[in-house]
Amino acid sequence: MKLITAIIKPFKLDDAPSAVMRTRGSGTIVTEVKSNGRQSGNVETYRGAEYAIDFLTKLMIEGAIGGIRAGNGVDASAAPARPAPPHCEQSRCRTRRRSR
Amino acid sequence: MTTKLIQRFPAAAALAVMAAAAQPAFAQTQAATIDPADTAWMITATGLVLMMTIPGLALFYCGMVRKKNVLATMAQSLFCTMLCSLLWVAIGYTLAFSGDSSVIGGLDKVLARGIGMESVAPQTRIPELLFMIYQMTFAVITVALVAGSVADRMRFSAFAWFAALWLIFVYVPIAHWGWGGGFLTMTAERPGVLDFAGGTVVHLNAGVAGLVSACVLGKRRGYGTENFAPYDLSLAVIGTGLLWVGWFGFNGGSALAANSRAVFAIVATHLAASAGALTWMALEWVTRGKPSVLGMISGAVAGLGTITPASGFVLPWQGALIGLIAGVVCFYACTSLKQRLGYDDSLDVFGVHGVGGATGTFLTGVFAVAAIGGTPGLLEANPGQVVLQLYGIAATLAWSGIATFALLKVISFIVPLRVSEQNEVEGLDVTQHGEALQ
Repeated sequence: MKLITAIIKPFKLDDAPSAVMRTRGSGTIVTEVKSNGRQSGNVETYRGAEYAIDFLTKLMIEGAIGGIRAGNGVDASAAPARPAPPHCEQSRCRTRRRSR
Repeated sequence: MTTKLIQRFPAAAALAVMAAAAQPAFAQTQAATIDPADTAWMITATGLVLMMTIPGLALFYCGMVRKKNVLATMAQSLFCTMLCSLLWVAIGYTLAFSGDSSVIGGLDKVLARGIGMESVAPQTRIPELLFMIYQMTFAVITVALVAGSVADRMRFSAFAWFAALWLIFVYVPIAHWGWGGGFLTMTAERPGVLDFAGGTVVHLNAGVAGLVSACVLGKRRGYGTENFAPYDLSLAVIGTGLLWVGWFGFNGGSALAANSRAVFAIVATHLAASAGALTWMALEWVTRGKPSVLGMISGAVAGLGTITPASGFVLPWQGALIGLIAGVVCFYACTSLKQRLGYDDSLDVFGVHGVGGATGTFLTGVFAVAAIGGTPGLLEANPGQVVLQLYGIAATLAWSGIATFALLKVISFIVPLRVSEQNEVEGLDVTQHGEALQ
């Protein structure tokens, strides 16, 4: 099982890599964070007083993948994202195969 | 027996006689009558002005401070309402609005003594108790305005002392001078300063006191280097809306009647707010590239404060023009002037209310229309009124500045004015009130 952590812009949540979002609804953790990455910050002005805001709001997505649910037949560790087969959405199996 | 008691206790006897003579004359017939329309409007106006403090000013201010001081900022507005209401009835009203002295009133109406069901406020057709509570709301908001200058760093206990003493020793005398029959009040016998709803008594007074307080307390820790961005400007916008609507009662109610003058005041007020907001927004758009919401609400409040003394004396278009001037003058006062002089007036009480109040008082002398307010201004060939306005500005500025400074020094012997540096970093909400926004 692998824990994937991704820092994305907030409006990109729905476009997040399917490999991570495949576990959406059961175990995905989304946290609002602030980070100062390659994106430059903003300058905010309040009545003539300027403040340089270096830390911008982002979303941190954490998801465990690699622990495949029985029956969904998908190798979740594959990097290119593929849409899950239709029957995966209806899978109710809770067993997972751990890979080390 | 009684004679011997009087001989042995002359002072007590004298007090007993005085107490007996001072009973309220509820059955006394008044020459003036109470008009129901005027009374209904003034009751409404009282509610509108009280709403300007709670929650109008509370929201306007708290939205502009940092998260750790939001509740403490609201507490200051709340506290002013709580304490100053009681003090006004106890001693403030009588000192401001009774007696014939040119400096201060008398003690005839302590605790509203003598004001009965039939009592009518002089030169009006409303109950005197209504006039008293209407003026109370003015006193409350004036004290609450000063709190904006010392936001983020004043100890609550020190502010409590300040609210009580400043009301009695600074606001009350100036209110007496301008409105209560003092040396600035216009009467039938002598000219006076035109101040319809409080350009000097409220705004210039609070602005100067705020500036002095900000200088005495000193700058906030981290001022100019740390991020002091507002916690939630949407709260400030809501507060501005409540202030704007409430100002209809502040200026419109100063006519003390439901009449055409009240309507002229309301229209001038609304146009001044609109023009002030547009002007400040335009100036920001031109100088900084973007029209900010904070600029819009600041311009609106600047326009409202500036039109306050003139609202019952000018035409609607003059109200709009005064608002435009307010937008320009107060914009530069809050940006260039503040940066050049280097003082930390947290919420620009001086820049908006002080400068606005003085500007509006001066412009009242320029634009006053005799057909509306009974007194002509400069444009109607009465340049002497401008001189009187400047006199009123000078007197208010001098007393507010000097007395505020003295009061703060006195209070500093009772309790430190500022919180400790550690408490300032941690925030006033949790250190002064034991509460925090989650």
